[in-house]
Amino acid sequence: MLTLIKIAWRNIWRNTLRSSLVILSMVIGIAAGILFLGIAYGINNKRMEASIYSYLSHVQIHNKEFGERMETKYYIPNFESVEAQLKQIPEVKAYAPRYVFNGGIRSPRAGQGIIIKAIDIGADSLVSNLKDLLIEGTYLDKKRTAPIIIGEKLAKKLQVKIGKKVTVNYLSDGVEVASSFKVAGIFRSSALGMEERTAFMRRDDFEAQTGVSGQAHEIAIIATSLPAVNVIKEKIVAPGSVVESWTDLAPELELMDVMMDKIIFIIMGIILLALSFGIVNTMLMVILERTRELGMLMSVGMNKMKIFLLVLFETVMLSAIGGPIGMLFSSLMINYLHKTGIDLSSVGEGLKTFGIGSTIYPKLLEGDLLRIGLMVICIGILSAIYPAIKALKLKPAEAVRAI
Amino acid sequence: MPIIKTQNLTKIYKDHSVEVHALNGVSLEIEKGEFTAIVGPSGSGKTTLLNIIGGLDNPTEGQVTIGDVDISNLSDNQLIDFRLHNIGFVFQAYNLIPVLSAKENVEFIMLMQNRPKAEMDERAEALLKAVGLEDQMHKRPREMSGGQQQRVAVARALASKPKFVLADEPTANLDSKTALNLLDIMATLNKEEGITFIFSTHDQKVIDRARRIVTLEDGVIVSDVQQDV
Ligand SMILES: Nc1ncnc2c1ncn2[C@@H]1O[C@H](COP(=O)(O)OP(=O)(O)OP(=O)(O)O)[C@@H](O)[C@H]1O
Ligand SMILES: [Mg+2]
Repeated sequence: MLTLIKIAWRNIWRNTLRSSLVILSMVIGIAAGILFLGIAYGINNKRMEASIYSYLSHVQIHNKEFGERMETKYYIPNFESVEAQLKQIPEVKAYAPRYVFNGGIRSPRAGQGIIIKAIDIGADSLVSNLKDLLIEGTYLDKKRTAPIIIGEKLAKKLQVKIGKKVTVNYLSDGVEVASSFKVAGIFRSSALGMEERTAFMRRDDFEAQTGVSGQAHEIAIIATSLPAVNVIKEKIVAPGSVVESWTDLAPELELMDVMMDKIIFIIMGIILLALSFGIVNTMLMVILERTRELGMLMSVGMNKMKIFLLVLFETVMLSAIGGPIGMLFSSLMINYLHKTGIDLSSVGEGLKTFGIGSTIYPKLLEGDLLRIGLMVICIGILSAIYPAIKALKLKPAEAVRAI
Repeated sequence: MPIIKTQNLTKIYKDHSVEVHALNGVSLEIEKGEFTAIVGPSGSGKTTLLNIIGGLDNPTEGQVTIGDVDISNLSDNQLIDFRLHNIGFVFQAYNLIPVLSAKENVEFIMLMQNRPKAEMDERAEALLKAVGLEDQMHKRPREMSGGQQQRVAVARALASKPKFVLADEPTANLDSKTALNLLDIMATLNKEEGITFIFSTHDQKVIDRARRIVTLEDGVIVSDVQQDV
């Protein structure tokens, strides 16, 4: 057995160029596959982060009744006690209370129904990236005329520019409020509907306009890490409120990862299949070249099992060299790129609207390398079987005569 | 009792409906200790006969008995095992595993027989010495001359302690001096160790060294003579 392995190993290096090419193609194929996987996860991650920081946050708290209708009377019950808890929970990295309500926005040219979020700019800048999404103007600095930030599409519809006045009216606890605002900033976002239908104002302006104070319709929370999200969700005691994590609010975001995972493994499978055809082809050539040698071995009494194993070992070793090198190479590469990031700004203007930069950080999920490793082993063995069977079919008398 | 006995061997190759009668009723007996040359023009059936005697090919008709075993009754796997333990082979070329040294090549056959390591080692060295290659034991085939490679092949053929050695044109790729040198080694092993050799050849100088000459023509034995050397 040991001798068979020794012979198989040495046989690989009889044609160094050919074997090296096979090994190199494995390395490149596997590395390309894994790198692609890492980048895809990186982009997904970016998308997820973009959603979390632009509108989702990790955890949101609302009054149970708040729901879709967003009536202003449904404040978070016992807001102060909830806020006190958040200060105590170590997994909470940042939180921001908001007033959220429906209203209408009007310019001299047009009008539109919108959702308005009244934010505390200090706290909110820690949980959302609105500031980075601005393409024009400034953040919500205190002004004599209340500032408002609207989306680019809404600005187009209203035909307003920075510094122009708009009127916003809304109901607060049944009382009609109508106020003048100055457009302070215009943002761009890839989040669905956000650009057309969301506007941001200052929390203190809202309180001044309505006389409400120390309340909130929504608390947006950012956790210290993704696993901490559920810990926070568990820890908060807020009767009369619903506490929802980002996965509750947008399950499709997490599903993307799962789906991506499957697609990637199909792609990896296709790459490996292509590689295995290369290996099979090479080994068939090898057998053709060594017909007389194999015939001699059979003639002098090498049994079929040993002939089979000899060819099998040689083929498996080919992939056993290329596979790990490819995997090692690509995981080093991913690790490196994970630290430095890949700047995709030149590739897609669209990435900017994520609002968290166009640099993506490739990564792999836990266990991915193991699974790819298993796939490589399976493919290695599968592609070894056909050539080995082919070798068995040789007839000694004909093989030794072969030219 | 002869160690090889063939009865009425016929071999017909069918090639695209063209039938080639390679052997036409060959009956031959070989005794232990013979040093026999199978000769004849190209295409006369020498290789076919040796292959059938060696269990590498089946006759269309007829029987081959080796010792007291009728090898036509053996299955493929039994035949491989039978060859391993009973027959030594030397071919015209491609005798050796190129990635193993001379000694490893000789040991390889004993390895397949599951002989103890110490015996393998000792026997391989003794055999290589017997063919005059004690200095070349650790060389790979491509580092050796054609004649040296054929001598390793002879040593390898003997390693399994076979009943006889079949050599199909073992000298065909050698110049005449090297060819005679190989023949001398075989003849010495035959004389001193009693090893039975059956070899085919075209070369008159090689034929001159044989003690029995069987001549084939068109698959028929046309003469079978003994000669003194
Ligand atoms: N596999 C085969 N298929 C068809 N015909 C074959 C086959 N092998 C051998 N023959 C034919 O059988 C006949 C005997 O061939 P064989 O090789 O036994 O002759 P030989 O005496 O060894 O010749 P040489 O001296 O050239 O080696 C030849 O006519 C050859 O063409
Ligand atoms: Mg021949």
